[in-house]
Amino acid sequence: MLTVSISYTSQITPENVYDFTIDNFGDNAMPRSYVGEGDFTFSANGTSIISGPAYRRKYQWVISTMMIKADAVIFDKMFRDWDEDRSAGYAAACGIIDQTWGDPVSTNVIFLTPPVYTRLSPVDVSVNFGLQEV
Amino acid sequence: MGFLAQSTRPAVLTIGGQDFTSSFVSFNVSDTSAFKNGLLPTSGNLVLGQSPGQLEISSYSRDLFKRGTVVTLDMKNPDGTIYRHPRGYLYVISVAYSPENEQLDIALGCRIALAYLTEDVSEILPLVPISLDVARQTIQNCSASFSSNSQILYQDNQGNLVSRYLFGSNGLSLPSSEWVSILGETALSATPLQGASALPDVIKLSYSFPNGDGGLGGVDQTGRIDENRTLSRYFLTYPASTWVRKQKEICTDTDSSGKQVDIACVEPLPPIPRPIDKPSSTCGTPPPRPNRDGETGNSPSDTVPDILACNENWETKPSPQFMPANKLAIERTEYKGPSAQVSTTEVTTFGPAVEVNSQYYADVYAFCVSAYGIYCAPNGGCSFSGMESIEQVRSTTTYTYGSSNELVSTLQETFITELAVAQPFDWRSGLISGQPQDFRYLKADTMFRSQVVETTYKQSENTNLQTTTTWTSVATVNQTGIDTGNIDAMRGIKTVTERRSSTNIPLDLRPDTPNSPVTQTQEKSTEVVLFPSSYISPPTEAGPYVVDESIPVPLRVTFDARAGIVSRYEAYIKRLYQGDIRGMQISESMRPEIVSNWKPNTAFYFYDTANDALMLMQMDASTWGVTQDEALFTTSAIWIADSVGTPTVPSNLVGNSTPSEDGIGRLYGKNGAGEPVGPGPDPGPPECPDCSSGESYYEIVNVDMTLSTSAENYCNAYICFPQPEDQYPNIEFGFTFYVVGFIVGDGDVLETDRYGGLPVDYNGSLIVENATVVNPDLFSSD
Amino acid sequence: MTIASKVSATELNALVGNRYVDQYFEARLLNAPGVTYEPGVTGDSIMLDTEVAIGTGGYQRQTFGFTPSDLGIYADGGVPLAQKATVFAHDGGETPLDFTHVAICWSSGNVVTLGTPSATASMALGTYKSIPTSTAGSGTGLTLDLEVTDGSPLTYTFTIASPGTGYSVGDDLVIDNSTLIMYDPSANNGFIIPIDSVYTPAAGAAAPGQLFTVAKTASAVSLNSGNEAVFYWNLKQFGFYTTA
Repeated sequence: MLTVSISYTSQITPENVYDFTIDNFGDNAMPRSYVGEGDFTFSANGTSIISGPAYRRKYQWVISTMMIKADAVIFDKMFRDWDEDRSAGYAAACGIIDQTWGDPVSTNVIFLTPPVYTRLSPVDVSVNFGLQEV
Repeated sequence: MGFLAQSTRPAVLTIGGQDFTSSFVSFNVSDTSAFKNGLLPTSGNLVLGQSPGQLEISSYSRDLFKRGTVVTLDMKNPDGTIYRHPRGYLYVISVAYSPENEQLDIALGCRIALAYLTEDVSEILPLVPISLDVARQTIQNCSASFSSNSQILYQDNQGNLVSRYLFGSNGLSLPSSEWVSILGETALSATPLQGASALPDVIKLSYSFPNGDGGLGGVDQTGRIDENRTLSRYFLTYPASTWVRKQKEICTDTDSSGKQVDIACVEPLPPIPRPIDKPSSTCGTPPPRPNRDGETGNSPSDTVPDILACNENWETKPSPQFMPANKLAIERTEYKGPSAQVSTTEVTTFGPAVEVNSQYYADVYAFCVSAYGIYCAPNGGCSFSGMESIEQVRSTTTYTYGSSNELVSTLQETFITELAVAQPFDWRSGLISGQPQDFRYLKADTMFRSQVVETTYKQSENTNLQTTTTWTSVATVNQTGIDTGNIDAMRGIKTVTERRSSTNIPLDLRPDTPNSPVTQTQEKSTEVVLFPSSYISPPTEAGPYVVDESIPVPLRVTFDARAGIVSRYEAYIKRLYQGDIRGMQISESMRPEIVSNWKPNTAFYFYDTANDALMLMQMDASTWGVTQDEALFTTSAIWIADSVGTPTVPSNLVGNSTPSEDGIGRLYGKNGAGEPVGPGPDPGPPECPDCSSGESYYEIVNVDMTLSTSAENYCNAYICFPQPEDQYPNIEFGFTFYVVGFIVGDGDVLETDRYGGLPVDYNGSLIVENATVVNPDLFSSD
Repeated sequence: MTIASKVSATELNALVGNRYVDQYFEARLLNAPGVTYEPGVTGDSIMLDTEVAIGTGGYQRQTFGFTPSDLGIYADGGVPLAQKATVFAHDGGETPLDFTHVAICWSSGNVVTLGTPSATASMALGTYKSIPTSTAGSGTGLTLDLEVTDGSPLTYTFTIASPGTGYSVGDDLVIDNSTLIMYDPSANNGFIIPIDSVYTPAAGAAAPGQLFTVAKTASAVSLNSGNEAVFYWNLKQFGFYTTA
């Protein structure tokens, strides 16, 4: 099964530990992609020149999933706890394990796009958000 | 693992003690670079926005906050503790309100920035490491004094002025790193400080220090008195008509035909005294010849035999009389004004009295000659009066200053002798105002005030006003003579001149002050090698590239201290040049380890992970920005040294617990069952405990060899008297025989030695026993 | 940065030894009133042109040389050479010997070794000091010490008291009988002594007559009445150190 698991432990008392595993996605696109584009040119004598950041490209996730309303409420609370920690100056990040394809990716992420909720039915809520590897 | 540069920092802003946090928009301040600057002022601006229900910030009159109002900026740590922003204690310099966007722009500065504004160095002067001449005590020179000693002065975030060496604890040692910046992890940006400018190879560093003990200028010269004396010796022509008797010459003769012909002039022999014709004019003419027997009056009589005249063939001729004269001018200046400005000047001239009124002395002489002169003694034995030295002119100028040491007025009084303005009718005989008068002798040394000039300087309505009032004695202006009542200048003619100027050109020069001379110095130079072999030659123009630098202030310190300062400055300038060329502009978030105990010259390691390059850098000229969203700083870091070691980059992430991979929307309490694995304890900031730095040293070693030769001569004025010849004395030898012994008899008592002891030879007894008695008459002729 | 440096005693010793030992110098009197010798500014030849004419008031150049034993011990940052004296004596005549400077020049033609006398006088036993000599060549100033020792025949040993200057190998030194009589009235002949070798500065070291040093007297000196002017020369090589 393709899953993306996210966890966050809030820093503000009382500490809350959140744990989500997402296994349904809104379309067939893989949620994990890379930040930025390659920069490639040719030199005067035709040598290929590649440039770009001096680090490996970071992952980013764009996730669109459906949760039951209760889960969505908890997810929203996780986001708010994370954002409160961030605003207080903590280097707050969530843990993530991506097993959607290839080898599992385990890293830390922050919310690049805050979650957007769409009511689908009285019990189901569509949750869309973006994550960025740090 | 991971490092997140978290730049969000909530802030607390107060102005003059009032909380303006809710109006806070942005805060941007910059420190000055320490590149050859000793004083590091911090200045920038703070923007406040209007928020409903908050304190009013509109200020069209620009006086909402007065200059000098304290602005503090405190930051909050995630745990809620508050700390002061490194530049969070500044003062308002000015405010400007922008009505369009309802924002108040407040210019901020530290105490040093305020001192630059007002040029008030009273708080800084006691801290300067190299004392400054009085005339050099400006804010710029204070800065130069610190930089000359490789020091900086800055204001910390508590408002205190703090000085420290720019490099290391003593200006020479390597600074120790206090935080670590890692490209790609903690550094927000890192760009080179300079473009590809040419690398200097050598710095020629010159420095100056006082000659001898320091000379003038080191102390306030207030109260000093200068005196200038000029003595002239010259000859003047005595103004009177004087006469000499001269033998007449005969230049014609009568030839045999009775015709008169020119001959070489000869003096007739023998001279037979005979008067010549009496002169006809009365003024400037020789006196009449003496009367002869029976003659009355001055009419010569042809009946008198020529032989009775005093000098036949002699004539009386005018002859100018040259007299030696001395003139002494004394110029005395007193510097008792504020800042040792001139308080009074007095110029006095002494010279022969005849110079002040030559007509008078000519008449005195003529009067004497008329009384005593005779034809044969035409000068009548009259003395040349008026050659005595008198005070001819005295001029004093008094300067008055205002409360700002500005010149307010000057008063110049000139005194001359009455004789100088006396007119012929003051002394000549005749009828004066109907009164008969004999020749009247005048006193040469009576002085009076001939002129008073008062000049006042004022400013009114943006114009400079100079008013000059002059009083001149009537005796000078109208030549009324000295008997017309009071001839003092203040009773004389008054003239007022007013000059108004709206230009900013000062109307008159500021009076001299002896404080302006500064210490006489001599200069030396040394060389600092920066980058040896950074060029190839040919072309010869490629190098070496020598940059001239100088220690900006004269080193008014002891010899030993001077050596220390010079060597420190060598290291200082070398590190600045090298450090600037290899410097980086690095931006970082306000991590706790950076902002706590921050100094403008905090050192840190910069690590480029991609190239595995580690170097020791030092912060310089940081710019600090705080907005509602973030708090960052950018520092122009100067390179100090290449280093070795690998910094550790611990993760600073919090909250990144590992998901359990099967939880859907689970929320656990702390330490709840089945919770994800927590992120672990805070590992602390990036560190580099095993990193170390070294420096390259380039030295110029002078091997100076001196050859000394000297010639000595031990005789007086190099001349030695010839030494006596060597003496060869004859030494003759001869032999003689003698014996030593006592002539004693058995039982005799011998003498002790001089200390009362028993001589060893006596075998412990002074009594002679069993002596071998020598015949007492051994040497007798028998 | 410039730092101080000191030169080793060995280096200085070698420097002085190689340059000055076994070399001859001559002291000259110069008469250049009002002139101050500035090395590099005042021309050396111009300076030496002011030398007092030889023979004026008995003036002769005075020579001296340094031997290995003259090399001193390193002290106070330098290596000295033994002090040398030069004596300028007035001849007692009417012409004074005026001078204002005294100079040292590299010498040449200083007699180093003598040959066997070709004519021999008969003199009493004893030691005779500083006997003046004359020559048909261009040399001047050589004086000899003579020691007459017992034997059959008597041994006459000449040693050089003052090496003189300007001599050439092959020149004969002549000591007249009239000169010897002043030392020993019984002398019956003179001596003729050939010169075996003379000193010449090594090629590349210095040119003969090259100026070495000039000292200015504190005031102009005028020697007369047989008086003397004696100069003691001290030479020392320092390995100095400075920091600027």
